[in-house]
Amino acid sequence: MRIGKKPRLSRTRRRRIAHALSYAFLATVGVTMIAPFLWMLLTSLKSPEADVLDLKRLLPDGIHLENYRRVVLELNFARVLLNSVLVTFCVTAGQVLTSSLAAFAFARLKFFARDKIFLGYLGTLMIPGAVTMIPVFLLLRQLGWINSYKALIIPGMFSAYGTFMLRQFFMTIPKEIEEAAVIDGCSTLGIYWHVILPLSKPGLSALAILTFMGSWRSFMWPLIVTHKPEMFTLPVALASFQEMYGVQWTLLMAGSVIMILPMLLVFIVGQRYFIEGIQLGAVKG
Amino acid sequence: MKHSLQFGRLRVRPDGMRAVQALLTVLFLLFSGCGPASPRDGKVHLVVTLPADQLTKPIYETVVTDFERRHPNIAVELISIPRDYYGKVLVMIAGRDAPDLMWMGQGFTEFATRGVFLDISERLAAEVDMKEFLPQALSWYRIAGKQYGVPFGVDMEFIVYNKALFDRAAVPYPSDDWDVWELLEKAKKLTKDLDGDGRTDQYGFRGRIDPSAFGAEILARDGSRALCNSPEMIECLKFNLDLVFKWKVAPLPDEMDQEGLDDYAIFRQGRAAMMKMYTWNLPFLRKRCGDVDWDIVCSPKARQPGRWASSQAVLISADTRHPDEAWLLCREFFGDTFMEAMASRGLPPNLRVAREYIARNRQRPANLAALLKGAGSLHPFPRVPHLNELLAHYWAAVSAVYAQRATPEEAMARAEKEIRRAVARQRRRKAR
Amino acid sequence: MTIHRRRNLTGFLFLAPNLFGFMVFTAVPVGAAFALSLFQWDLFHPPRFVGLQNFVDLLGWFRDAEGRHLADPRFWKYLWNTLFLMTAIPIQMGASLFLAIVLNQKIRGRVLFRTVFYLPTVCAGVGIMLLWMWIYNPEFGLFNTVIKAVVDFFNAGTARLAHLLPGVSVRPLAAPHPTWLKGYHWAKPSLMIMRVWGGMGGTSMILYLAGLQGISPELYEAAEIDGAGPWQRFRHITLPMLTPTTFFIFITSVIGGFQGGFDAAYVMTRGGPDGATTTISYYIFNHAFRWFNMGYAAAIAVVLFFIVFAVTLVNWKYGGRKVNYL
Repeated sequence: MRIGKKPRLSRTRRRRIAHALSYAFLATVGVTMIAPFLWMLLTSLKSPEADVLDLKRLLPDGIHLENYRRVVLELNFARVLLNSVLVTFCVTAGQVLTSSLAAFAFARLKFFARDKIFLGYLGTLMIPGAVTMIPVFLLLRQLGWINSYKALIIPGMFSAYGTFMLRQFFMTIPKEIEEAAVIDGCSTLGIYWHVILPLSKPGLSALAILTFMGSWRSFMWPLIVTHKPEMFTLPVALASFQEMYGVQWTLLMAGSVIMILPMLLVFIVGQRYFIEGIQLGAVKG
Repeated sequence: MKHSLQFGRLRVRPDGMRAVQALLTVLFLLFSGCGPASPRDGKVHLVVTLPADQLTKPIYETVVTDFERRHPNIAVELISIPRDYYGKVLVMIAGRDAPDLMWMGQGFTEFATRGVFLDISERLAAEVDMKEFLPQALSWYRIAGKQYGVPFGVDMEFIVYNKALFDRAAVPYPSDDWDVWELLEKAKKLTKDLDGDGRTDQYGFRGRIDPSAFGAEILARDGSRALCNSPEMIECLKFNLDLVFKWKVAPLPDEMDQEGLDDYAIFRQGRAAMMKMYTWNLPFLRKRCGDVDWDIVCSPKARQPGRWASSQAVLISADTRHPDEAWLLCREFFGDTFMEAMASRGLPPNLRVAREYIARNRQRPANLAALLKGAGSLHPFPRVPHLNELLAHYWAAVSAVYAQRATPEEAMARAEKEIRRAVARQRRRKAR
Repeated sequence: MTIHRRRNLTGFLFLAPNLFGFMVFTAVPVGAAFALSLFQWDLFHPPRFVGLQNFVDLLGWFRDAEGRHLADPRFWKYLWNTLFLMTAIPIQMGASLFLAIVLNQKIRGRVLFRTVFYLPTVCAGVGIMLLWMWIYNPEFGLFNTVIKAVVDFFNAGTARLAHLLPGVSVRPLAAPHPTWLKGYHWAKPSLMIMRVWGGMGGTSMILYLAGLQGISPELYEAAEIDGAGPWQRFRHITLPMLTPTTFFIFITSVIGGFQGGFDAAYVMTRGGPDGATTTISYYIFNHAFRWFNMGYAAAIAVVLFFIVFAVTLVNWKYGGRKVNYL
C-alpha cells in the first residue's frame, strides 16, 4: 500500500496521463513504421540524376515519374506482374480447394486410417522447406517443368497447414446442420459444397489471405525454378533488378514501391479479413 | 477464439462454383499452351544465354540481327540472365534445357571440367587464323589440349587517376612502368584533409594491389595446392594494410569493401586521386565522369609486373542439336565486328583489332594503350575445377585480414589449411 | 458395395487431390532427401553412392599434425549464425506483447494504429529488403545520415557555446559511423533490427491482441480489489493467460527461424561479410544450386530436419501441454 507515502493523483487524472503516454508511444511507433515507406516513396519520385548523396534535400525536386517508367520498361513489368498475379491466384485458389476437400474428409467423414493419415499431416508441419526443396526441384527437372508456370504453381497448391487449419474450423460447425441436410437428400459432395463451405467463409478467407501473402512474397522457390526473365515473379525480378542497378537508388525504390503497392491495395480493401485471418490462422482447438 | 457461425444460412453459392471453374480453366490454359515453345517455322533455333547488362545487350542484338539476316534459316533467341548467371545456366543444363551457346567468364572451368562445352579445336584450326590472338587469352579456354572457345574481350585491372588533383598537388602523372613505391609516394602527396576537420577528404589511392604484382599465387596452376601462405602474399597483404593504417593514403576497409558504393561518384567528386578499376568500368567512367579530366595507367609492379585478369567468350554447348549452325554464330562472337563493338569495355584479344581500335580511339582515356602494355603480364585465376569453392576460403581469409580480425600470417595459414583440406576431400571423393 | 467400402471410397476421393500433392511434394521428397544425402551428385555425372560420407564430411572432424579440426567448420559457423539471428524472436515477441497491451486499452484510433503497425508485415519481402539496404547504407543511408545530422547539430551547439565563453575550446565530437550490413559484427544485429521492426506489429501482435481480449475483465477487477498493482496483474494474470498464444507464436517462429534467413542473405548481404549472415538455408542453396553438390546439400537439409525435429520435440515436452491441437 502506497497510500500516505506520496500524494496520489486522482484516478481520472492518472488515467488521463496514462492515456496521453500511450498515445505518444503509439504515435511514435506508428511514425517509425511509416517513415521508411514515405522515404521510399519520396526517393522514388526524385529525378534519376538527383544526387542521392545530398540528403539535405529530402523532398524531391518536383515529381518525376521517370523512375517508374524505366522500371516498368526494363523490368518487363507487365509480364512479371501478370506472372505474379497468376501464380498467386492459382496457388491460393488451388490451396483453398484441395485443403478444404481434405479438411472436410478429416473433419466429417469416417474412413480407413483417417486419424493416422491426419497425424502424418501434422507431423510434416515442422519439416523445413529446405528438405523437400532439392528433391522437388529434381522431380520437376525430370518432368521438364523447370521454368514453367507448372513449376511455380503446382507444388504450392497443396498444404498440410491449410488442411489442418480448415479441419479445426470445420470441426466447430455443429453436426445438426449437416444432419438436416442429409435428411433433405443432400449428397456428401452437396454437404461439402452447400453446407460446410458457406458456413466456413471466415476460415476460408483466412487461409486464402495467408496463402496469398505467402505466395506473393515467395522468393526462394521462384528463384530456383525460373531462369528466363519472362518467367520471373515480382520478387525475383526485383532482386535481379537490384543486381543491375545496384547504386541507382531512385530506380530501386521505384521498383520496391511497385512491388509493395498491389499488396498494400489488397490489404486496405480487405483489412478486416486480414486481421481475422491471422487470428484464425493460429487455430487453437 | 470464437468463430462467427451463421446457423440456418444454407445458400447455394454460384460464385464459388464460378471461381472453381475459373481456376480450372486458367490452369488448363496455362499448362496446355505454355510448354516449351516448339518452333514450327522450319528454322534452326539457337538459344544464347548471356548475363543481363543494359549496355552490352544492344551489341549482342545487333550482331544477332545481322547474323539472322545473313542466315535466314536460323533464328536466335537471346536470354539475358540478370543474377546468379552461372547457377542459372547450370540449372538450365541440368534441367536438360541447355542453351546452344553460352557466355562464359570466370566460371568457365567449373563448367568445362564437367564436359559442358563442344570441342572446337578442329574447326578453329581449319577456319581461323589463330596467330592474331593473344596466346594467353586463348590458353584460358584450352583444357587438356582441347580448345573450347575464343574470347572476345580481356578484362584487366588498371589505375585511373584524376589529372586535376595531380596538377593541383604538382605531382607528375604516373607512367605505365611504375612501381608500388612510386604509387605510395604519389599517394602520400595526394592524400588531403581539405576542410581541416581531422578527417581525410581526398585519398591518394583507393584500391588494393593485386598479389600477382608481388609474385604471389593463390593456388597452384593445376589446383592441387594452395600457394597463398607465401612470403610474397604476406608482403602484399601487409603492403595493402600499410597503405591504410601506416601511411594512411587509402580509405579504411569499411569504406572500401561496401557493395552498392558508387565508385564513379567517389572518383568524380575527387574523393580519391587514384583508383583501381577494371576494364568493364570504362564505359561508366566515360559516361559518369565526363566532367573530370582523367586517364588510366597500368597497375604498378612490386617485384614483377602482374595484374589480375579475366576474359569473356561465348561457347558452344556439347548438347546442342545444331553444332554447325552454332559454330557459325559462335564465330560472330569472336569476329572483328563484335570484338570491336565490345572493345569499349575490355581489350580485344585479337591484337590486330586491339591495335586498330586503340589507334582510332579519340575519347578518354588517352592512354588506352596501357591495356595493350598490360596484356604482357596478365594473371587470371587458375582454371581448375571447384575454383569458387577453393577461392572462397582464400577470400574469407583476405577479408578477415582487411577487417583486422586476423594477421596476414594467421589468415593465410588458415586459408592454406582449409584449401588443402578441401582439395583432399575432392580427391578422396574422386578416388571412391 | 458395402457401406464400409463406400465410406472409405468417399473419404479417399475427398482426400485424393491433397493427399496426392502431399505425397508427391512432401512425403516422397522427404524420403528422397534422406536417400539423396547418401549420394554424391553434381547433376552432370550419374549419382554415386557414398554411404554416410556426406555426414562425416559435414559433422565429423579429423586429426592432423596440428590437432583436431572440424571437417566443415563453415557449417557450424552458419548454424551459429542461424541461432544468433533467432534471438530476434523473443525480442520481437516482447515488443509485440507490449504493443498489444498498450493497444488493448480503450483508445480511439485503435484500428488505425493496428493497421499502421501491420503495414511492414503486409509489405514484407524483397521490396522492404531493398529499402532497408538503403537505410543501412553507411555512406548515405538514413541511419548514418541521421546520426551525422544529430552529431553535427550537437557540435554546432557546443561550438557556439564555446564561442560565448572565451578561453574554452571544445573538440567537436566525431560522428559514430556504424557499418551496418557491411560490418562483420554489425550485420547480424542489423538484420535483427529489421526483423523486429517488420514483425513487432505483425502477426504476433494481432494474436496477442486476440489473446488479451479473451481474458475476462473480472480477473483484473478481482486482482485490483486484492490490491495487486499493474505489474503484479501483468505477471500473474496476463502472462499466464497468454501462455498458449506465446507458445504458439514461439514454436512457429522457431521452426521458421531455423529455415529462415535465405531471402535476406541472398538479396541484402550475399551471406557476407565473410559469411556473417549466411544461414543454414543459404548454405544449402549454395551447395545445391551454386556448387553442384546435391548430395551434400541434401545431407545438410537432413541434419536441419533433425535439429528442427529435436527442438520441436523439446518444445512440446515443456510447453505442449498448454496448447491443445487435436
